[in-house]
Amino acid sequence: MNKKKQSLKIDKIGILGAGNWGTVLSIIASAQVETVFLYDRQESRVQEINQHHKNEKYLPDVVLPKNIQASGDLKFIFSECKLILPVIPSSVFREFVQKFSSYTSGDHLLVHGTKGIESGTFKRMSEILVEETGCLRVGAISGPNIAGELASKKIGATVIASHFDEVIEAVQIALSSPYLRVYGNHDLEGVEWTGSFKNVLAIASGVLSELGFGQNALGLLLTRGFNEIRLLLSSIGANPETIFGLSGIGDVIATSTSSESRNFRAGILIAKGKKVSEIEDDLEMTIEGFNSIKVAKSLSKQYRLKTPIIDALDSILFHSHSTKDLVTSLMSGISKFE
Amino acid sequence: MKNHPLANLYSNRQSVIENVVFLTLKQYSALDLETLEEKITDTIFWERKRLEASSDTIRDTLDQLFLSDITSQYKKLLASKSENSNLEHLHSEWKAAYREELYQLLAKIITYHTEEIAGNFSNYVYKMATVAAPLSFGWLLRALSLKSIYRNLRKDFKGILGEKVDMRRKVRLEGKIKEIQKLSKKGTIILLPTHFSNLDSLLVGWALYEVGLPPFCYGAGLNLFSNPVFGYFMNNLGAYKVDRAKQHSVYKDTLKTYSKYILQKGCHSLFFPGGGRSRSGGLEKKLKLGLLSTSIEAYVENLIAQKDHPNIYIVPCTISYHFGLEASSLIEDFISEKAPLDYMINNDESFIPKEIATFFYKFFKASSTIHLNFCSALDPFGNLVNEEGESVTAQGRKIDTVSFVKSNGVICHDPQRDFEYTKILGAKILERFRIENIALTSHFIAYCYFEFLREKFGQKDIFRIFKLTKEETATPFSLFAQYTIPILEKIHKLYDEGKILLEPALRSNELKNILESAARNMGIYHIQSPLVLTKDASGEVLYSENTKLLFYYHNRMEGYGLSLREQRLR
Repeated sequence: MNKKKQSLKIDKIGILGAGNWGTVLSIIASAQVETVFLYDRQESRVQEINQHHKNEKYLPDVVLPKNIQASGDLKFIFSECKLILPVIPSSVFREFVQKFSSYTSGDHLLVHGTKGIESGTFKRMSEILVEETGCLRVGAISGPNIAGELASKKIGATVIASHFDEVIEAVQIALSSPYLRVYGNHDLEGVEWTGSFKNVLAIASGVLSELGFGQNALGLLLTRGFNEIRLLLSSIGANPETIFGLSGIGDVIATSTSSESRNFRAGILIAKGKKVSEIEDDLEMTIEGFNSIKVAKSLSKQYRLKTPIIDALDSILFHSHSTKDLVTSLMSGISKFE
Repeated sequence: MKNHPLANLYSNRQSVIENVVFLTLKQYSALDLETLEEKITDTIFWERKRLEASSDTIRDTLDQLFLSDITSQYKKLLASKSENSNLEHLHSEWKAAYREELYQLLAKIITYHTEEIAGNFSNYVYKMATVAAPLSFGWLLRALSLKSIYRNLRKDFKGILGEKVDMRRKVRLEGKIKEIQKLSKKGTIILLPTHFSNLDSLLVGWALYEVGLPPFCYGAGLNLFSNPVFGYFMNNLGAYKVDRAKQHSVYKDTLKTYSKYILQKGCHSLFFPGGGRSRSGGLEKKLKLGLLSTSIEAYVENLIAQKDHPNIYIVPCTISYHFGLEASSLIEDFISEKAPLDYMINNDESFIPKEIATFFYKFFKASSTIHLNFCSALDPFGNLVNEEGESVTAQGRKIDTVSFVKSNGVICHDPQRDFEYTKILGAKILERFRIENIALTSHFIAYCYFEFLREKFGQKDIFRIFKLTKEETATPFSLFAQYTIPILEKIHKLYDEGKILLEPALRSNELKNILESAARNMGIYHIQSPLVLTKDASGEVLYSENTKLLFYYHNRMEGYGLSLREQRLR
């Protein structure tokens, strides 16, 4: 036994969830570590990845590196790896964590890649990880990470947030690559909240875009939207400055203008008159932003904040109001200082 | 008792001091010359600042002499350095010699502080203090040398102290006692009580003896030792001195090393994690993490040394008084918002023998009780521990705590990781304080009554309440009841949900009985009573002669979301 901390070695990584983002993270990590264990519950997808090195549903045009080993055995993955990245939608996150909680030990480093908040409890994903597993070395990856772009090796950056330097270092070792720069941040709470709230602005910008408004409107939306998010962050005790980082402004710029962002695409469909339930079916993906709007609206009400953009989106999505409400929220009211 | 770790530890006090000096100095072995110089400069700066503000005790005079000595030595060292021009270009041999001289000076500073900090343990004093345990508060009263006061009071005490008093009836020892008794044999315990009075140390000491636990090492404020009676016993019962006025890092490092050393020696330890008595009367909201971090450091050391019983168990403990000895001074201090450096009040009630005597007299005479609750034990990572000493998750799953201090599969120190663990532990301790706080009728009524007055008179300016005359505070019971019953329902709901503990009298639905209990207890000690229940032509009326004290007792119930005013604002 050694007294002093040794330099960290990461030769294996477990990524839980072979969706769009989980598969892209596996590709990035495969260049840095010996083996990537990619979990999927569907046996057919496990076979497809192991035998044909393909994930047809999410990345049809990409051949997966051979050191990505798919598995449906969570116990096996936890026994093999100390660094584990669950990449699971927030709506099923807790249920999924409960499946593997008994395989964890205190030296597992658990880092999620989910930009959402638990509905009803308003708990962050890292809180759920701690509650359900007892592991304390947890973290979150967030930032302007459009999966398709990273799959094509277009350059970008991400942020790994954790209170523990060891977690930050482990993720930096596993994910840093010539086309992905990995920044560290100790404000785990702020990064998780901004990661969720930025979805709200991505949906709103999709709506404005489909309604035919231009860049001026987008500038107006994002500036006033940031202000609303800052108010929310301050109220819940997170650092409002974190919004100026990759998980905030960085992600908003990427997702609020990109047709590859699922939240932005969801906004377009809303403006076309589609219902929330229809959109998730159409896109065959979970839209984290829908829950983010509910959470943001609820917190805004709880802290009695003035958040006209969030209020308008909540009315449009969940109370059948017209999308024109969003425009009204931006343009109505008496003239005032910024 | 001779084989007890505490007795063993202090059987050679000089060796304890030497070891602590060695271990503290060892932490500086990797520091560069500039950082070593900084340590000494920091010591001189903060000590000079402290002594400029206070130099009225013999101790301060000695400290002043010591400061002059090290300042003069350090000046000589610096002078010799400047003669050798730029440090960067110094000869390596000269550098080594200079480093050695800096170490010598630091060793001198550390030794000076360790000699002050180090406690002692006397079996003789321990036996004397505990042989009459059932009467120990009576003994305390005698020991305070207040013969004349005692003589005057003796008549009243007949039948109270004259007979065999069932102290366990007056001081209720509650909570996880059996579990902690078991844990004390499986590892080392750190007991962390809430802190409201200088009497807490003695109360907890008695409680530990009463529940059959061995003596604990105490971390007690230096100012307490200036009381000749408290000082004598604390000096000989394992207490070590903590001087919160000393701000420099060498002192803090020495104190932490001392705390860690006694834990590694298997001595159960006790300190007040809030750093001092609660000024507001409320539960601690923030903890001093420095001393707390020694728990994880000692745990890692124990694992590395492959000790048979490496575990460290953290036991929070809540103390509930119906009335506080120093409540008046503490709340005045809180309201006046004194600087945080001003930790000690050296002239409060706990330093006035007559006040102490009156406190005990009224305490024994009244139906009042003190509640001391041993809370659920935690491990150094904030997980709950069962009576077998195993850490468990919230879902009851067992946790292997060794894995928490492993990196790359190896048990190791990682200061950044361990400090984050300590922050988590601190938050969990505060949570236990809140959940396992025993609320008394006096706390509850003070809370409701103050909130009622606040709504009526001072929604925006709390100071307005402190200026109210007793006539202005007079409130018919019926009106008070109308306001209070919803809060009573709320606190009963919290109790049912396991979010607070209530003394039996507060579990009643009869507000009248609760109010009478509060008035009987809280109202009797203070000259200006925070709560008086009386009758006039229109019926029963309550009023307050001292709303600051009412505020003090009110604060104990803060943080539970009981306020109707805040609920309405939401």
